[in-house]
Amino acid sequence: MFEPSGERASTSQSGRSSSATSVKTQDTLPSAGFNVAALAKIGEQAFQRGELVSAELVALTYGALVRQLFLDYQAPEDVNEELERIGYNIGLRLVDDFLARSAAPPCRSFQATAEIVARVAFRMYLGVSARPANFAADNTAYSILFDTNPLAEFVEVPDAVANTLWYSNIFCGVIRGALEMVQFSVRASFTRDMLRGDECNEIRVCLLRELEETVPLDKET
Amino acid sequence: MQVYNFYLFSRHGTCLYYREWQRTRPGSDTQQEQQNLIGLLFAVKQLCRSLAPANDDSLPIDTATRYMPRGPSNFCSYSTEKYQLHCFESSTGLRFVLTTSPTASDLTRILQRVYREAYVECAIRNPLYTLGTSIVSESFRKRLDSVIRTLAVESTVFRPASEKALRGNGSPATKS
Amino acid sequence: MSTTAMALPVPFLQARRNQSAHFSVFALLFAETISYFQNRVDSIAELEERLLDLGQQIGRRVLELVWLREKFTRREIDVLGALRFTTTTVWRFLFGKFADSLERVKDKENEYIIVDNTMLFARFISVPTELEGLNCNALIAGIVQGVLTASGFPCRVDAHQAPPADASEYVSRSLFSIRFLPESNHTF
Repeated sequence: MFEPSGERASTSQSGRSSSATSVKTQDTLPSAGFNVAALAKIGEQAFQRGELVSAELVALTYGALVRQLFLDYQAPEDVNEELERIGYNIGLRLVDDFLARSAAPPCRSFQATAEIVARVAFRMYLGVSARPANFAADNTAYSILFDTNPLAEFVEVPDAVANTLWYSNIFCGVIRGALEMVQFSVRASFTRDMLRGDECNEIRVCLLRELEETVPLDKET
Repeated sequence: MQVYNFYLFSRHGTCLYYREWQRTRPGSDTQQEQQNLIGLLFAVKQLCRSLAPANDDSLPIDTATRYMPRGPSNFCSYSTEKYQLHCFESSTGLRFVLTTSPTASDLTRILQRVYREAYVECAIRNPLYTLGTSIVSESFRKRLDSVIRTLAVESTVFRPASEKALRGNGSPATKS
Repeated sequence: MSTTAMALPVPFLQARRNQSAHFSVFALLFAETISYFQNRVDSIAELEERLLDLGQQIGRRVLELVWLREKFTRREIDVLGALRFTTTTVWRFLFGKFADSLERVKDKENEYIIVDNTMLFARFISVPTELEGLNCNALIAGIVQGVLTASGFPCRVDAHQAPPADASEYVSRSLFSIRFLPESNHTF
């Protein structure tokens, strides 16, 4: 019943070709040494192998949660922040799930995380294709672009909050939480959202610093 | 092959889970032992990194300025004449450690299965488990046992060291 | 219900039917929802109540969506029909399979039980002692309640756990007991 449709496979093709044009800098290293097609295949395989639930159930559950947050907080800025925080907690956990199941190559550089998050993780978890783009010249920032957002499937944001609420802000938190666990402290935020009439969704990920592993002190006892 | 102990350490070096199956010589101070072990693993990792040649071809060029490769160490085991210690480190810094009788085979795959089938299933997905705290889940124990049991199928000596080392009463581990 | 469907924008109706997401996404979203509520309630009963409420919000929308997707032309007019619809069509929409059984409680006019032996959630949740008695299936109970209530059969649904039928299984069985309120005892 939950077979991914062939239609989406074709979207990923077009997505890949457009990413080639949208990468402004770093033409020599657009994929951090990865074979892009291989990554997409890893993501697709992990998606096929996983147990699947209806994306609509996820969308409805998320919608009910956002609604609950509005009841509890009212101000859209606070809702954004809380969604990001919830996402962060999810990211802390999701990264282990991802590493254990996906067979994706390890992220040895910040740039590599762009490829893994966009090409493998988005496909594996949501069945949608995303692409990294707009790498900053010094490799401390990139964007993730995607056209289909399963969370926003049934959503129309009321005018009153249309310019303040980032409905899918949970994504930013998930990315922040997940990358922190692999030693990259980042800030992620939406810059474009199709719910606001933009032509695609864009999440900007900026590297704050790389974390060093802390050696435990044996003073605890 | 005999399976002795299992340890799971968090990224900050605290022991999340400890289980013994066949430990003929009980440890005198479990907590101290765990600390020594994690200290050893950290030290080995540091050493492995500092001994590694600087130019690792597998790394993208932009990391050339970095003096040490990132990510988990690939250290997987050491052995003495009495036993062998196997270690698997995830990218997030979790360390899965298993001690067995000396064996030539590589058990990394088994530890990866523990990661996937026990830790992710029973800890990560459990809404009532707080990350970084010790795991008390009964289903985690069952799943760990069932993964380890696949290792010990050919061996008849696999059984829990003592019933009181187990949480709960029923012990499916004895069935193997 | 039909007016709602009429008012929907065209892209909505054309939405991909088979779109799916990885189970982990749902599991972790669910986990964080629980911990979000956990910080805002005083008792386990209250926590379950909040989950039930949230489930009802979902359930009402699930019903409309299932109707739309399955292109139903008639609605269920009695309790049993609505229950069958829930355990088959709705269940398949939610979990990709039918519920394992639907039973009527002995000696009770308007009480039923839905049994599911392999509920995905039951597999990985283990309740720590300080939260003894918490049943996370309350969310699903809420969805069922939402679906039935929105179909015109007000009821109260409670989730229960039972030990697995086979001792070698990890998964305990999930039971949902449904008590219809007197006003649902009518025919349309």
